[in-house]
Amino acid sequence: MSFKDIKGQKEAKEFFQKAVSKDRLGFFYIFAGPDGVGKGLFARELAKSLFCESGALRPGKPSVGTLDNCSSCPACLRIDSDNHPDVNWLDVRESAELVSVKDARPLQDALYLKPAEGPFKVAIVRQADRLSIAAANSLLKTLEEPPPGALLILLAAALEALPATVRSRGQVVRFYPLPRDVVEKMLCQRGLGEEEARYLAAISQGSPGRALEIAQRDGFQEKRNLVEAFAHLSKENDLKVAEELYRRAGKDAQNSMERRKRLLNLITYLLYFYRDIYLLREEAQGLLVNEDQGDLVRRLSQRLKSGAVEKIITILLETKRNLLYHSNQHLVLAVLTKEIVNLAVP
Amino acid sequence: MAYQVISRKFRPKNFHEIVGQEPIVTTLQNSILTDRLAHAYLFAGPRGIGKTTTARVLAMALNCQNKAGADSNPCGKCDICQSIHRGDDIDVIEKDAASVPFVEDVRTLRENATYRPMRARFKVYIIDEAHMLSTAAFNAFLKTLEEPPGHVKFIFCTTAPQKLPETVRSRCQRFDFRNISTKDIAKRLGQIAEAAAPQTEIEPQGLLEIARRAKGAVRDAEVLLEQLISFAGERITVKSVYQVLGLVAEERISEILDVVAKKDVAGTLKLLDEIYRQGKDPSDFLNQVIERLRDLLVASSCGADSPLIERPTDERPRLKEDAEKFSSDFLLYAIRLLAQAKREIKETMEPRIPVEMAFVKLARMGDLVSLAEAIERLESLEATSEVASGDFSSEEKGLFRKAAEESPIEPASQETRASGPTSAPRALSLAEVQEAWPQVLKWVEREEAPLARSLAQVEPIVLKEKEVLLGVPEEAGLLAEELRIKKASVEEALGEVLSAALKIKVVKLTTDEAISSEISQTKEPQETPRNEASSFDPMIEKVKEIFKAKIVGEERGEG
Repeated sequence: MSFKDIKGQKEAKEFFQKAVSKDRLGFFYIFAGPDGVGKGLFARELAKSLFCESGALRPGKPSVGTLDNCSSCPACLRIDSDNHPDVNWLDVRESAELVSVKDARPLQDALYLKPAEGPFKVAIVRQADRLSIAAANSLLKTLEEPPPGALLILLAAALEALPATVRSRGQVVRFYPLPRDVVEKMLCQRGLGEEEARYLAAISQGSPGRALEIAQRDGFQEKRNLVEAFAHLSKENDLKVAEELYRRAGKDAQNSMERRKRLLNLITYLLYFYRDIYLLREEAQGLLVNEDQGDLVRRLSQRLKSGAVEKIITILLETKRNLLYHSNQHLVLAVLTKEIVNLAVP
Repeated sequence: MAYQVISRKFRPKNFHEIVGQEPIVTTLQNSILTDRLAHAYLFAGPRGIGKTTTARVLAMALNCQNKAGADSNPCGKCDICQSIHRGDDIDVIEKDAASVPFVEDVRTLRENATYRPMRARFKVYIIDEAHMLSTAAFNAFLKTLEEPPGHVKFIFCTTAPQKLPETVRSRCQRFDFRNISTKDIAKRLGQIAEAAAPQTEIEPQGLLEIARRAKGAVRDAEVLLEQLISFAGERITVKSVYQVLGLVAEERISEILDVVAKKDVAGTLKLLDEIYRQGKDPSDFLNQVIERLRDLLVASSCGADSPLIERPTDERPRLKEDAEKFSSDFLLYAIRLLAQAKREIKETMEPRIPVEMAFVKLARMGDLVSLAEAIERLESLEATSEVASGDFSSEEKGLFRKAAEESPIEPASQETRASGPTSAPRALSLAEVQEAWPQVLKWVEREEAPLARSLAQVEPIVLKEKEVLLGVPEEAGLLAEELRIKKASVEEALGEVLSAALKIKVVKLTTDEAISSEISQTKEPQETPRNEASSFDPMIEKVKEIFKAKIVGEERGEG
C-alpha cells in the first residue's frame, strides 16, 4: 500500500504535497468525508511519509521533498502494522469509551510525550464525530497550541457533528466520494459480478468501503428477493413479509447491532427501488439504479401515483430514522409493510 | 519544523491589533489608565473572535516593564511580554479548565494565589474554556474570587457563559465579545497575508470570500487562509476558495435554480446527479442553495444592492434577474423544504434521496398561489354561493360531504368546553350550569383549594336572569357565610367556565318557601332538547347554505 494505491482524493494528495513542499505542514487536520472513501488509509500513508527512512521529510534531508514513502523500511512497516511508538490510533467506535475527559487523556498524553524516534508525534482519531462534548472540549487548548512536533488528525464523516470550537481550530481537508465507475471497477476487481458492482456503486454513494461492507453482509440476490417481495406486497402477506425481513436480518447476526445494520441496508435497497419508481414517473430516464429489475420498476411506476410513491419514500426514511434511534424493530417493520400496502394496494 | 501556523504566529500582541472588539478594548485600556481594574473578568463569546488573545494582551498590559504611554499598550518586547505571549510566564498562569476541571486543581490554584508574583506586578490567572469546570470547582473559587489578594487578577474565557454558575458570573466584570464583520476580517487577512506570504497574490474577492465563509470568526478565517496559501500557490482566487471548501460553483447553483424555475423535473434530476458524481457533500450543497435563496429573498424585498447581501458586486445583476423569477412565497417554501431535507440527511444517514425528493417537489410545484390570493378566491366562491353541486368531481364531493357530516360536532363540544367569549350570547339553562359545576370547582381549586372543598357541598339549584342560587344545607350555617364572603371568586370562576356574567346568591335549603316555588318555575326550560341548539349555530347554518347540505345525524366529538 502506498499513496498511489489510494483511489481518487486528488485534492487531498495535492494539498498535502504542496503543504509539505512549502514546509507549511500544520499540526491539526480534520479529514472530513463519508465513511469508506480512504480517510484512514490516507492518514496512515501521511504518517508513513513523515517517518519513512528514505523520505525527504527526515531531518537532515533537503526540506523540499515529495510526499511519498517506501513502504518497505522498518518505520513504514511498523506503521502499517500499528506498531510505531509515535503513531497513535484512537478508535472512538470500538472503545465507545471516549466519552469523558478522563478518556481523552491518553490522546493528550500521546501528544505531549516527547517523540520516541522521529521528529513527530502523530495521533489519529477515527470516528471523531462521535467524541463527546466534554472530551472534545478537553482537547481545545491542545489543538490551538500543541507541543512541538505534534500532529493530530481527526477523521470525521459528519463534520457538523464536531463542535464549532474544534472545527474552527483545524484545517479541514475534504475527502470526496469516488466517481461511480471507479468504485464499480474496484468492486469488479474484488470479484463481484458486473451487475452487482454497478448497483452497489450507485447505492453506496461513491464509498468503496461501504459498498464492500454491504456486499459482505447482504448479497445481491438478497436485494433482488427483497424488491420482488415488496413489489408483490398484498393485504394478505404484509405481516409475513415483515416477519421474514426481521428473520433474514437476524440470520447469523452476532448481536442486535449487527441486525440493525443489516436491516438498515435492506431499507436502503427499498429506498432506492421506490426512488427509481419515483424518478421514472418524473420521466428522468437514465438515472435508474435498479436496472436489473427494470421491468418491475416500470410496472410499478405505471400503477402507483406519484403522491403514493412520495409517501412511501417518506415512510422508508422514517423507518430508517426509527431504526437508527433504536425503536422496536418488529414493530417498525410491521408498520412499514402495513403502510406500504395501504398506499400501494388499492 | 520551526514552522508556525498563521493563527499562532499572528496572534495580536497589543490592543491595536485586536480586530472588531473596539468597545471592549477601549474599556480595558481606560480601566488600566485610570487604575480602575476589576479583580475578575469574564470574557464570553463565540469561538475564534479573540477572547484568549485579549486576555493575554490584558495580562501583558498589566505587567509590561516598559509601561507604555497614553494608550496603555504593552511593549511586546520585554521579557515578561514575550513570555506571556508564548504562554509560559511564571506569573501569568493559563489554565485549561477543560482538561483539569476538578476541584483539587482549583484548591492548589487557590493556595498558590496567596503568594506574591515572582517578578511581575500582578499574578494573572487566565482560565480558558471556563465552562468545563465542575460545580464543585467553581464553588471552591467563590471566596477567592470575591476578595482576592491585591496582586491577583482572574480572567475567565468561555464560549458558554450560561454554564457558569450565577455566583461566579456576579463576581466578574463581564465582556461579551461579538462576531466580527466580514469587512474587518478581510482587512485583517489582507495584512496577515502580506506578512506571511508576500509572494502569494490574493484577489480581493478571494479574500472577501474567505472572510465570508469564516462566519464572523477571525481564527476560522486565518486557518482557511493558511490552507489556501499552501494549496493555491501563486494566486488565491474565489475559485480556489471554493475548491478547498469543496463547494459547488455559484454558477451551478444558479443553473439548478433556473431549471427549477422552468419546472423541468427531469433536467433538475440530471443536474443533481452531475453534482453528486463530482462528489460534493450534499449538506454543504444544500446550505449553498439555501444561502442563495435567502439572498434572493433579500434581493426581492430590499433590492439586489442591499448591504444585507454579502456578495461581490459583479454577481448582483444575476441575483436581481433570478429574484424576479420567483415569488417570495416560493422562496420561503423552498428554504423550508430544503432545510427539512438537510435535517433528513442528518437523521436518516441517507445523503441522496431527501435532496432529490425536495428538488422534484420544488420543480413540480407549479404556480404557487399566494395565501392572499387563495383567500380572495375562497371569498369569491362564497359570494357566488350558487355553486352547482354537479360541477364537483366525485372526489371533491366526497370531501364536502364529509365536512358536512363532521360539522355537527361543533356545538356538542361547545357545551363541554364552554363557548369562547366571542360567540353569540345565548341563554344558559340550569342544566348547563349544573353540568359545568365540576369544572367550576376545578377552576376554584386552582386558586383557593379550601373554598373548592366548601363549594363541593353545595349545588346550583336555580338559574334566574343571570343569577345562580346556590343551595346550602340548612345545618351548615358557617358554609353559607363563607360563600357570601368569597362570592366574587365564585362568580369569577363561573364567568370563566361558562363565559357569561353570572351572579350568585346563597340560600339555605328546605325552609324557604319562596325558593321552592322558584325551583318549580324554572324547571321547564331545562328540558330543551340539545339537538335543537345545533340548528342555531351560525357556522353550521353557513355550511348548510354554501354546500346545500342538511344535517344527517349528530356525533359527539371527544372534547
